[in-house]
Amino acid sequence: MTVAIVLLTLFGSAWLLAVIEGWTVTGRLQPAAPLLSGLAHLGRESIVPRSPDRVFFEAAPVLLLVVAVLGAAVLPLAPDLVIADLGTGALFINAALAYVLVALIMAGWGPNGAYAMIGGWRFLGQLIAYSMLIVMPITAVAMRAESLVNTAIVGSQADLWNIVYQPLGFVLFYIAAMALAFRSPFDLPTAEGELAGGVDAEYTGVRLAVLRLARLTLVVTLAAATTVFYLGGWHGPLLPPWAWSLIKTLAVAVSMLLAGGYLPRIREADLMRWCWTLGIPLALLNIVIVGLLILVVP
Amino acid sequence: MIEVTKDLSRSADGLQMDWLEVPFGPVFPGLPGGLKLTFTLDGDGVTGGQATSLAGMTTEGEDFEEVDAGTFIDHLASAMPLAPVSYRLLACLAIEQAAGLNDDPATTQARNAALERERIASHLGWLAQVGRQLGFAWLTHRASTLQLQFRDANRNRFVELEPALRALGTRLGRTPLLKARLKGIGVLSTESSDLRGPVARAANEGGDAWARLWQRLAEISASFDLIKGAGEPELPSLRDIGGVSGTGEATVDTPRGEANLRLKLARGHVKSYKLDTACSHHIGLVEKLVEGRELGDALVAVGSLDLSPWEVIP
Repeated sequence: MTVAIVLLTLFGSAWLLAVIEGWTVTGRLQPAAPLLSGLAHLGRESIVPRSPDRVFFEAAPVLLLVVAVLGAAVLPLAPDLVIADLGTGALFINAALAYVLVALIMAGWGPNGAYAMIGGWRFLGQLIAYSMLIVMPITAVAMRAESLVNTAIVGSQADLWNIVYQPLGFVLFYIAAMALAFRSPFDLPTAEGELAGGVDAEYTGVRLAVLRLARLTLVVTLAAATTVFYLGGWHGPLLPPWAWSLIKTLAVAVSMLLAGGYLPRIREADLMRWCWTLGIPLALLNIVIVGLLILVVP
Repeated sequence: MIEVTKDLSRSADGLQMDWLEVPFGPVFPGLPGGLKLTFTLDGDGVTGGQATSLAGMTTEGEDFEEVDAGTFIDHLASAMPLAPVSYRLLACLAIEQAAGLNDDPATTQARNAALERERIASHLGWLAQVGRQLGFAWLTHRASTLQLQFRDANRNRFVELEPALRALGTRLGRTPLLKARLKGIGVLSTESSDLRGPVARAANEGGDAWARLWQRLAEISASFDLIKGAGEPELPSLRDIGGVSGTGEATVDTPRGEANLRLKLARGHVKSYKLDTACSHHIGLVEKLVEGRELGDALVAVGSLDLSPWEVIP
């Protein structure tokens, strides 16, 4: 039952994001559009490029979707609404999401096309930039909770959410999460204006439908992780716990979706430089500040 | 590994890798339709590249079929869909000069207003293209909306649209990351003799893509002021020239730079012509601009030239 509820929440949120994304592009609110678009993709020819690496080409969209769902499996919607409340849940998310890179490299290499291949390798560079900014803020979150269990991390925020306790960590994690989800302005692997879609470029039909669903699901998973780590998870007045988790997750996901439209795509070299010369020192500073707060404030 | 790569070209970083020849265009999201770039890629670094137009005029100006002056004007305007008013004006001026007609101040004022209106619309279209290239959705939407509004606007509408135009410039100045994306990209020095129009004027201000952005914004502002001081914009149309013969030459500062037209008129018909455009010169700069750049930067550099494939004369 829990699995069904979490999956429904995940894919329902992905559908809502697709509706909002369509609204921002076309200016029309069309709730049925993502479903119709998905059905249309199913009906279209799934073209296979010439001389592909068939295993990589077929597996990449599915792997990306599986990775997004796996990440969500350890994120609690409510105290008793989590698929697997692992003892190392906070680390598990990081480990699961590392496979986003594998999926994108496969999606880049598989079709045997230049745009896709460049997009895939670009994401490798992107991972080198953002990965420490995922891990280090999570470290500070776990320090405060004195646990890697995600329900305990939410529990540690009952009185004060981490967005207030460690705002620097929140900002760093939020930016890194956008880079992990390769949303604009970090959409280097897909870069419409530079690579004509990059890793998406060679996919059509049902494979493209799965890839798009996976990308939206990944955004929802990362938004749910942000909620668990920084926005107090299910904590909130009046409404039931699951409702608060859902509202916060959707708010973060929508902000990730919309924020990028107001910024130009970042250069890969700049992303790398800023993450390593500014982001990592700030993440270390965040750990030091949180450590001091834990020692000083009871 | 050594056997696989031993005869391959060596990259700037010393590695030996496969180099790929990759086409961008003639239909590509970040480039104007009809422009084809062929880059040699070493990873996502560009080791060489060239640009060709697949949409430029193919008729040889010297031996084209003789047409009457009115048809020639329509022909030239429709052949340049990104700047039809400018080329219509160019043709009118060259034919009128060949016919020996003097300037009419009222007509000149109305024509100039139309030319400046097209300049504003064209630069806004370029901004929308930059937005598409950089994944900057807000800019694409805002600039293309304004472009459509300005394209056929009269003086009253111009006054209404002024705040929106000023706000666009202010907003671009405050956009984080935009300067980092454009500064130092596609640098062209004033020494190059091939620079025309806003590209040439921006060369005095740093000569990079960032300077070209601000040059075009400054030109939008200047054109706006000119229109406010001029009459109602009016599409250039040929004055009565009768069946005269002669040779004429005219130069118009189109949105992409100076275009020059020389033609021979025989009994009211254009017998031959020679056209020189800014884009014909700018397209040759691509090779130098992209060499050694990262792919994204190379495309930004090419985009900042605002090449119109239709205005490339073979």
